[in-house]
Order: sequence, then structure tokens, then C-alpha cells
Amino acid sequence: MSSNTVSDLTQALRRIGGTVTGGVERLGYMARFLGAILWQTPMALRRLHLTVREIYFSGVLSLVIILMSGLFVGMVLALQGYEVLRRYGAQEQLGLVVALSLVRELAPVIGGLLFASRAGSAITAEIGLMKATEQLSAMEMMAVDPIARVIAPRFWAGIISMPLLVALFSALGIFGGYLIGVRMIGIDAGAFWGQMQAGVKFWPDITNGIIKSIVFGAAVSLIAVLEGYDAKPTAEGVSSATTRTVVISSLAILALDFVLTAFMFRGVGL
Amino acid sequence: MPVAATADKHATLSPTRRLDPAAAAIELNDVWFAYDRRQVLRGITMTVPRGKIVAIMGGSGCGKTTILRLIGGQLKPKKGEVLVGGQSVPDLEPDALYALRRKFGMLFQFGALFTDMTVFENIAFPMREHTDLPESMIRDLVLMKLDAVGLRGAAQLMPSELSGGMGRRVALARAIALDPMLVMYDEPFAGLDPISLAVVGQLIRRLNDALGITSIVVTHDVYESLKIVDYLYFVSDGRIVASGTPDEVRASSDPFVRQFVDGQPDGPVRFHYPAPPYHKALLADVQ
Repeated sequence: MSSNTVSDLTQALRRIGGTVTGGVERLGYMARFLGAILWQTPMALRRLHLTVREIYFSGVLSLVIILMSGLFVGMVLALQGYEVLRRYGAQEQLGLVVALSLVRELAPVIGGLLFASRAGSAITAEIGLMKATEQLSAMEMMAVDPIARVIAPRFWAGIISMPLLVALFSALGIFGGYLIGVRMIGIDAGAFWGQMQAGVKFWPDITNGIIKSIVFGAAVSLIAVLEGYDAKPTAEGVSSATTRTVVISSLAILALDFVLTAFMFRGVGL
Repeated sequence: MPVAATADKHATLSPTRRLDPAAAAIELNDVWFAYDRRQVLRGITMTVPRGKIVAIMGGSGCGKTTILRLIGGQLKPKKGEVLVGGQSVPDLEPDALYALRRKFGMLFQFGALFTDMTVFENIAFPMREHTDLPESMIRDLVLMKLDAVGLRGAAQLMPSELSGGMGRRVALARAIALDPMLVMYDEPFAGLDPISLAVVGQLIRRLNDALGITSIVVTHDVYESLKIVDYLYFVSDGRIVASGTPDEVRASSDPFVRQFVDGQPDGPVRFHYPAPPYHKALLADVQ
């Protein structure tokens, strides 16, 4: 083996090692940051109005995109589902298929991705700009911990908002399915709602959806506040941090979804 | 002449030791600091007496703001002591550091006003965070502070609606909201029109005398500083290269002080960032 090949191999190994160590360091930093947020949570909850305000910004202002997406996803599900179910003469099951798809999977995942794009990016940009304009430094110099005053309320607001947004996504999705299945295609309304009522279980279907939405909310909020807090205090730094929030949050949602789904369906023999 | 070589000579202008350490609110002893590999401070020793206004002057990037951040405990020195009221700031536990910071006020270079709050709420912020005062009293105190900076009528404006000078004055009102024992001003005169500049200068002097506080002013503005401060330190290349009272500075023939006070392009302080000879750089493409 020539010395050049050995050198290339060493460099490649060094790069891989550097990436892995960097990743582990980042995870460790994230864990410490989460610890700091949890430590400051009692202090943050004493100023409950801050968390309520952030629920408005993260949750209420995301309503339009969540509700519209839910409606359209439900309508598409009904069209696609009807086409497949009709082949087996099972079109009466359309309500059940739409509801289960939404509650178990699509509402938490699509809701999470939309939440990351709409609220996560806004949180990162806001915190990053606060850092760039020295507002966080000013807070520290006024003996006010930014983790308690700025970070923790946004983190908890995300965790509280997500399940509520996901529930509304599911509700509008089911309504969209009803519009297409019952109103447009002409499936019997009693069968649509009856099959859904009989087939959708509170546990595991709805509860699992809620668990997923809480986990996704925590992941997106943590990534968003961390990226904002850790952003370089420049226009380019804030812009990169915002992009990273959306990319990392989206990948985290998809990866966590797989892990959670694998655990949740272990009990049903899969 | 390199600045480092002139440091000892300039120290005779008005040595730091002339200030009484017993009355010191702040002392820095042989402080060294670096951002990663970039050495910023190289053995800074200075004293800020209680109740006085001290200016720290020097070119951009010479480490003036870093000194303020070290005093505020936002940075830790690599070597040396930073004492505030006899307490070593780098050794303080977070709770003790926050308790100390409650006695500080800081005016940031660009104001650092909270952009999601009105002017009134910005000034009320430290009061609401650290006191249990009733809202009616907070209102009166905020209006008093705003009146002191001439902006009582701007109480309900958002920071985005203020001019640069107005923003600086609001930030000043916020810095003194809790009647601190020490106020640090980071470039309080930058970007102000002549009227605002004179008003802010006089305000710093009046507040210092009326409230009996200690003030540190980091600035480039020699003319305005000489009118209001009690003592000046000149920093270059991370070192104190000269210090003195305003009268001593005015009378000084020291090359560094003269260059800075008179705004001369040539002197101990380089205007150009270190680079290869200009003609070589221009001819590099041709070659």
C-alpha cells in the first residue's frame, strides 16, 4: 500500500472521527441545555403569562396553516382511500381508514413538520436576533437569566401547543374526509361515523397519537431554542440557525416517529 | 514607535497607583484575556475609585468592551484579578454573581432594548424582575427615569419607533432604573447628533453626582469625555499605555495621547491592519 493511500485513509478516518466526536459533543451540549431549561422551569412557571404569550405565538398563530393542511390531507386521504377500498367492496370503512391514518400517523407527523417550519423557525430567528442585538446579554447584566425568561417559556409553549394543534389537525382532517366521502361520493353518513366509532380505540390509537405529538413538540422546541441560543450573532448566523432548525427538526420527527411507532406496535404482534 | 515600548514611559503621565486603592470600587490587576487564540488583553491593571467617572479609551478592537464584560462577569480572565467592591468576580458562584449584577447598570453600545416591549416596559423590566413594588409606584419611577432623559412623552413608543439617539437615552434610563452602585457605558456617544451627545454627556455626569454612583465610560469620543470624566485610561494592543486626569491629558505631550486626542493618522497607533507592502499587493496580479 503506497504512503499516499495510507495518508488518504488516515485523513478519511480522522474526518469520520471528527464528525462523530462533534455529534456526540453536540448531543452532550443539548442534554446540558435541556437540564438547564428543566432546572429553570419552576422560575419560568412563576411567570406563567410568558408561557401563555408564547402559546399564542407558537400555537394560535400556527392555527391557519395547521387547519388548512388538516382539511386538505383529510380530503386527499378520503379520495385515495375510497379508490382502494372500492376494489374490495369495503368503501363503508372509509371513515375508519381516514381517522386511523390521521390520528395514529399523519396528524402528528405532518403537524410536527408544519410546526417546525412555522413556529420552530420563528422561535430560532427571534432568539438568534435577541442574541445578535445583545438583548440576552442585557438580560444577563440585569441579573435575569435568559434561560428562565426567554428559553423555558418558549420550550414549554411548544410542548403544550403541539398536542392541541395535532388534535385540531385530526379533527379537520376527519371533517375533510367526511366532505369527500359522504357529501361528494355519497357514502352513508351512519356507516362513515359508525365504523369510525367502533374501530378507533382511545388506547392505543388516540393515546399513541398524543404521545407522539408531545414528543415531537419537545424535540422541535428544544432544537429551536438551542439553535437560536447558540446562533452566531450575525445575519448569516441567524439565517443558518433558522435553516438548521427546520432541517434537524424535520429529520428528528421522522426518526422519532419510526422509533415510537416500532415501540407502540410491539404490543400488537408486529 | 511601537505602543508596547512606550507603555512604561506613558505610565509616568499619571500612574494608576495615584488613585487610592482603598476607595476603589473596581480593581483589575494584571488581567489577561484571549478569545480562542486571539490575545485581547495583556496585563491590564486599573483602578476605578468609588463615586468617580472613569473613561477607557482606545481604538476599535483594542479590548475596551472586553474589560466591561470581565467586570460584569460575562467573561472570565485567563489570568489576573477582577475585583468589584473587594469581591473577585470570576470566583463568584452564579447566585452571588447575579446578586452583584443587581447593583450594576449597563448601557450597551446599540441600546439592546427589548424589541417586543414598549419604552415604558423596557424601563419597568428590571423593577418588575427584582422588586415587589406596586404597579403604581413602578409607573411613577419609570416616568421619573424617562423624564431624566427627556423622553417621558415617548413612554408608549416601541423601540423600532425611536431614533438611534432616543434609543440610547432610553437604554440609559433603563441602566439606572434600580439606582445601581456602578454604571458601565459602552460607547454612549456613538452615532449621536451634537445636541443628544452633549445632553447624554451631561446626563452621565449629573446622574453620577446626584446618585453617588461609580461610572465607567468606554468611548472613542475624546472631546466629550474630557468634559465629563474624572480620569482616563488609554488602551492599545491590550495594554494600558497612558492614564491621567483630563487636565493632564490635555497638557500631555505623549505621542500616543496626542495622536488620540488630536485624531492624527500617524503615530504609535497603526491605522492599517498589518499587511504586506501595498506595492507588492498591487503587483501580485501582474507577476
